[in-house]
Amino acid sequence: MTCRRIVRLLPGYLDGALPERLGSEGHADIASHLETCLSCRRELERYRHIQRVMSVSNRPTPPVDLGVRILLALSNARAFGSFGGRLRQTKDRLELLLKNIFEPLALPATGGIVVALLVFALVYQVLGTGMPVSAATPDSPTNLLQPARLEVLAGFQMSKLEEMTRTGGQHPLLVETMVNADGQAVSYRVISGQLDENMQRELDQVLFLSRFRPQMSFGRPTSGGRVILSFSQIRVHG
Amino acid sequence: MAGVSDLARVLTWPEDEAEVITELRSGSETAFDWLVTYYHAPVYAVVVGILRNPNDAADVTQEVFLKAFRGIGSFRHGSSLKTWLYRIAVRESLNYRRWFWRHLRFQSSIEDEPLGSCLGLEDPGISPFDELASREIQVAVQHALGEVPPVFRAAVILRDLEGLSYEEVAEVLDVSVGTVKSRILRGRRMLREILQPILVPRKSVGSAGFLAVSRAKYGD
Repeated sequence: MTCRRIVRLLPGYLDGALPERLGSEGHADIASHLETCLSCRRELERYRHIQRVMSVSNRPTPPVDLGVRILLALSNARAFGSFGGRLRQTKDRLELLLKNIFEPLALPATGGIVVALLVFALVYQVLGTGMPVSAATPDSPTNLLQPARLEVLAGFQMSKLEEMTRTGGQHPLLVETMVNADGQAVSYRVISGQLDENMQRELDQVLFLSRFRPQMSFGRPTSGGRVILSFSQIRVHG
Repeated sequence: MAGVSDLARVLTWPEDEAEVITELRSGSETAFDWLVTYYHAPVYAVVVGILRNPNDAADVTQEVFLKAFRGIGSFRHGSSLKTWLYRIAVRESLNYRRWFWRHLRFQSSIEDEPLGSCLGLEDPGISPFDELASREIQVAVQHALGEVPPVFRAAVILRDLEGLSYEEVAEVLDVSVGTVKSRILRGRRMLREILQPILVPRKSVGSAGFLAVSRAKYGD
């Protein structure tokens, strides 16, 4: 065998790992070659040295907690390995998931319910018993225009008027009276009905001596109020 | 690991491995405690040898024992617990490497962390000078081992570091003895080639010679 071939086989020669096809003769051939060849002997020495170095090197030390970690992993595998275990694991996971979802909502939800109850109680009071509404006294709307009206009609003789209404009674006498801020009639206009001179004098007396309540604007008397008076079937007793 | 060490001291390894296997198959917790206590360090050593990253190796070692727990039913009579565990360890490590290569290789290197920090040294009765020399050479050898492709590296680690026989290595790797021999042959040859620059003929004191060259190489 050549040196080149021997050198290639040397790593196996160390501990009997030569290819089987070489057989025991192969081992003997290499041994006899080594006796005579210095360079091959040196090469063998290098291989031996590497082997020695490897044989004295300690095993890499595992992390200190590795054994405990493995035992823990095994105990987990034992606990969750069976069907029942897997079921339990799924249940645990679901519980944890639900807890994680609902726990942050717990406080806001409770707060919300309490507030809702309070609001409901307040609204229920209003709905159930009704809103107490009382009119303010005196009930004088201050922002409205109140029309003028007749308060007291003067008690004068109205014979002509009576006669007129009795005879031509089918058309009642309608008079529109203008009232000033002091509650006095300032003028009037006959809207319907016939008037003669006597009747007009009687009507003048009656209207100008009657007392009216003036037109009220925002609670204050104003002029320009109008009152419609209707005379029909007037009867005077006594 | 204090808890495990205490446990290891309390638990005595039964003489008959078949007894332990029966216990394991019946799901005995104590038997698994034994298994973890006695084998987590050797399994870790094999995994870290293949992966070259202590953090990943710890995770993979844990996975190895979980796989062993789940697969104890398929344990073959006739094989030893050690080769069975090593077989799972090698398979898991190579799978992890493949997965890492596919998914994470662009993020970081699996061989980023120097392994030298977790190397120890037995005391074979050598002088402090030789010890220092050996330590440096060991680091160099470990680095070189990291450059050997995983398939060959696994075989070399199992044979030269873990001291398994060729038959046991064949069983662990699930290949023939012939394939194992060829892989170890090639693995050692690659290691030798990578170490070529620091290897010098051992004339007088080998360690000193190694030291001189390795110092030159590492710039000490």
